[in-house]
Amino acid sequence: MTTTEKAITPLESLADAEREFERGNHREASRILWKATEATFDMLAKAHGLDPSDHIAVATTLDEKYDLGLYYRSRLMGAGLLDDHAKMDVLEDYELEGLREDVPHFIRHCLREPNANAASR
Amino acid sequence: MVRLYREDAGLMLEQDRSHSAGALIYESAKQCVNAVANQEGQNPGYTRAKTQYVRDIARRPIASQYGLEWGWQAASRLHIHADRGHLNEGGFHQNWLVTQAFIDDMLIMFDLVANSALEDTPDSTQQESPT
Repeated sequence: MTTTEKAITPLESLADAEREFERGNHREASRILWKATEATFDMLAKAHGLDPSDHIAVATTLDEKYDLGLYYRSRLMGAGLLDDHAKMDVLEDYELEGLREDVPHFIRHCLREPNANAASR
Repeated sequence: MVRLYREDAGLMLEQDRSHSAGALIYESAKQCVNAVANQEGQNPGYTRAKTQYVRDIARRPIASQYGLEWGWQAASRLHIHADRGHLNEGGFHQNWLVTQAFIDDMLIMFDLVANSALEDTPDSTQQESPT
């Protein structure tokens, strides 16, 4: 088991991911950030009494419940690029730059305000 | 061109040709980025420049209510799907929805940028809508 596979919080994962980015291990950093995104949706599901095994359903339910358009779905789908890159090495460095900044911001926002109705577009 | 690519993408999806649909809807999204950038006198030819342009415009106050950078990422995932076919039906559908919203939002951006450009330079001529 690697350090990134231990039961750690999403916030701890963000630090691990940033460390891997700085080392130039972009695919590992992407994998960690994607896992942190999944863990965040797990937490959102539990906070709202939803099934954590289906993140798309969690995102859809929260968007519809709080009339947020595609807020959670767009972030879940966008962050999925990290999973794509971790598995298939499909992104250029410049494409990772935005995700490296935006995904941690989204995760911190969710952890600060786990109630979906506090989210802003 | 935006409308034509978008319509063709929809037709491909109706025929369960998700690879082709992904490629075409990505083209439509790209054309939107080009149209808005052209409206500002920019020409982001390479994908890197388009990505940077989306990030730039997403950070402006007029775009703050839209998740443009996330929409562009969803479009990029569909582009990857066109080559790799890696998305399952649910994942494809959600990326499709987000990309469609991105295209709609960029068309709004086109009008907003056109109007603000007209305010800044009264003599300038508004371009034809990319739709």
